[in-house]
Amino acid sequence: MRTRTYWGLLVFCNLLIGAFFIWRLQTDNQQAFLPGEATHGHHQIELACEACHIPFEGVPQKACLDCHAEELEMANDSHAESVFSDPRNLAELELLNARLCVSCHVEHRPEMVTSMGVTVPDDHCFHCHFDIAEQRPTHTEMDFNTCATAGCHNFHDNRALYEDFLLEHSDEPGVLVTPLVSKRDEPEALGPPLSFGDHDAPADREVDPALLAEWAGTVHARTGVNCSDCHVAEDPKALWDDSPTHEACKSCHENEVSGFLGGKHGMRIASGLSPMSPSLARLSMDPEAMERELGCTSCHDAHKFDTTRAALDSCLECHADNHSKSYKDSPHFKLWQEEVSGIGVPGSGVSCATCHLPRESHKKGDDKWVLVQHNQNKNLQPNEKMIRGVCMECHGLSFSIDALADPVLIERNFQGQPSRHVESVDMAVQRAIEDLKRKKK
Amino acid sequence: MGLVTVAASAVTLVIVISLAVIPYSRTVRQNIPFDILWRSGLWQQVTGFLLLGFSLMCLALYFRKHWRRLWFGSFSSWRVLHGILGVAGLIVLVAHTGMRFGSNLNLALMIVFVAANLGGALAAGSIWSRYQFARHLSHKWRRRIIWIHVLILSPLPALIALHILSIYYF
Amino acid sequence: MMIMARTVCALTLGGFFLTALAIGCGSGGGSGDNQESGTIFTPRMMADALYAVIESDRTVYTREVVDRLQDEEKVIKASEHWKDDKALPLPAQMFRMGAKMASDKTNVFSYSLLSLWPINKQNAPKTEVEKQGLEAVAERQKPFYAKETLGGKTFFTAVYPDAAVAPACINCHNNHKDSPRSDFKLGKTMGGVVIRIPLSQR
Repeated sequence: MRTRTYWGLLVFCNLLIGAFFIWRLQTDNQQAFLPGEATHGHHQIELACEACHIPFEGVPQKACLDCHAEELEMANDSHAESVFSDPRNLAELELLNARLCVSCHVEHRPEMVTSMGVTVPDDHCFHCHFDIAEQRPTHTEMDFNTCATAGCHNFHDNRALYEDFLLEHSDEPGVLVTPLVSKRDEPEALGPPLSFGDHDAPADREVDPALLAEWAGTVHARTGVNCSDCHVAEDPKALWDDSPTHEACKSCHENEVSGFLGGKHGMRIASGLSPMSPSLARLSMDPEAMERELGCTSCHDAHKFDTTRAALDSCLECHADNHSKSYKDSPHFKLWQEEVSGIGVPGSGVSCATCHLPRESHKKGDDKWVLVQHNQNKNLQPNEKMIRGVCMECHGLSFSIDALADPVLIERNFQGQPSRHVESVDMAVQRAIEDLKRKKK
Repeated sequence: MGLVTVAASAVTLVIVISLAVIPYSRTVRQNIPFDILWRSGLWQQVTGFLLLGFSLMCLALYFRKHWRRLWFGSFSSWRVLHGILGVAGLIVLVAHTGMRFGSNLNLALMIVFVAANLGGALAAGSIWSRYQFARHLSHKWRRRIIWIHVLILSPLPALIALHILSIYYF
Repeated sequence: MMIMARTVCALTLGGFFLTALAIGCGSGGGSGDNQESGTIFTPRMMADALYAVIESDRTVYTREVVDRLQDEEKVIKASEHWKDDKALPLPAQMFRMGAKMASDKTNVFSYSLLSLWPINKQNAPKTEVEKQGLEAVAERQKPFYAKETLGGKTFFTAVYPDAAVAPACINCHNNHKDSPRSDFKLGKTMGGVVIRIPLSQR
């Protein structure tokens, strides 16, 4: 009798467990299957399983490339898949299949992660570059676990670290002669300037005059962007929308919106999840901001669209880590205050956005334009990615490398001087001198 | 008397591995690349299905008990085999997981699996005590301990099946 | 009671095996080979034909683009860092970019440019056949053919001598600080073009 009860219980309990998990598999929330938390890069979308996984097929390389291919291409990826595709590399690929992102970036195994979401040991360079000291005697005493951790080399993006670049910028001072960032270009005007009375909100709607006044003072009004341009979708039959989303902004600001969706602020929306909120962040956030949600207007303020606020105050309303909290004591902030108050020339101030949402120059033929990159992840980690696009607008290369290799200085938001010196520029210069001597002989 | 060894080693093993999580190697230049067990999908499948096999073989003790006529060998030798398999299973479990418990489904499976093994060690101990200190533990208590072992095992089939499913599904 | 126990047990076990079976069926499939009738090309003929195209294209680029625009007309420079310097890619880089692009499109063959005296050490011979081939073409200036096994796969490997076709080649290779030689001469072998054709699909 007892045995029968037990077997009944066993079957019931197993069916129950099975049914629960299979049910979860059919829903959007498959957390029950999550084997471990995702890395800092993916944790926001760790519950959007199908962003990466295909049922019974695992994680295809394409899933990684869908989001990261463009960036790797831009970075002139030093270890692109094609570098390894020749069969002559098969022996090395057996040690580490570097053709696949997931060989070095395994997800949901938090204990395996070192830095940059990498899950192979730091000295993995050894597999292929074990004999580097023979070609570069200066590297004899260096350990293989310092290749990518000492500010000298990156696996993918070496745009600011390759030897000839180091040499070209070897004699730059800490602060350049004209430390200025480029001026931002605005989208083309939709029409002639509009003023308070020109607004086209429907007559039957009660409109707060304060909002209208805010709008009337913006670039939007100046460039002919009326209420209906954002509040009514392009479809003429569409109704008035009280809270337009990034979709409305996209019609004029496509580049900015696509950057936003690709970065830490918009990646949840892009994956079909609820918007990112400080409560979901792993960085320290202001306790009072926990329930806020991120969209274009959370930083830009609907109607006001004040870029000065968006570049600094908006960030500090949520971000409360040491680097952010130290900012207002930094020389960068002093420059920003001077620019905003009119003492400093335009482009001389350094706000949060100057570095994290930098102005990027684009060029096609004789056309040149400058846009704000809203994907802050593009230059975030490894931080050497920031050197060319950001730091070198105002600083010399060697100084920039040193500053970014000093975690304490970063935490203090660059108050003071770098405490350590990365010798890569010196080594490049030394080799150039030796080469000259050799040629003279 | 094989039971004595089995029980003692099982208890020790569980205590030891519960305390120490074996970390991943921090270098690619180690002589024995032990962490390939947890890094390589192939090794994960080898150790995983080995665990499944061991678990199924352990189940044989139950049938030996209830289908007496169909089986050969004495019950106590079957029990010793069961104990050995249990301990071997724990060793394979270390190879499979490095004693990292994971999250959610994997966490549930690990807790049940380790708890069932502890229950098994307890049961083995209770039987050992029958040999060592006669009637120290009443027959009723021994049966209760064995029942605890069996009860903890109950959700295992579903959890293992779901674990295997999830590995190939995702 | 026993029957019930047996049934339940069989069901549980059956569940496992069904799952395992379903999983096992996840992979597989194959493709049929379609032999087109007509001339049969040997791997060697295929390699020779590929080499003719690869080498001609690169020579045209070297002479008619790089040499002409850089050295004769002095309109634009060719540079290793052609993106940063807004310059032309070097002929060897143009060659490698083509090889990379081809490798994305097909695995019926692959090709590379190697040398016993490479600027980038990753382009030094790695396999025994590459070493023999590069030594042979440096000595005799004639193609070298061999079979080799890499990662369990058999390849037909052809190595063709790669000579300095323009002054740009030797100028750069003789003056680059990473070049192990500074005495390359125009028309002489600097390395080899290696073409590989897999003979086994495994």
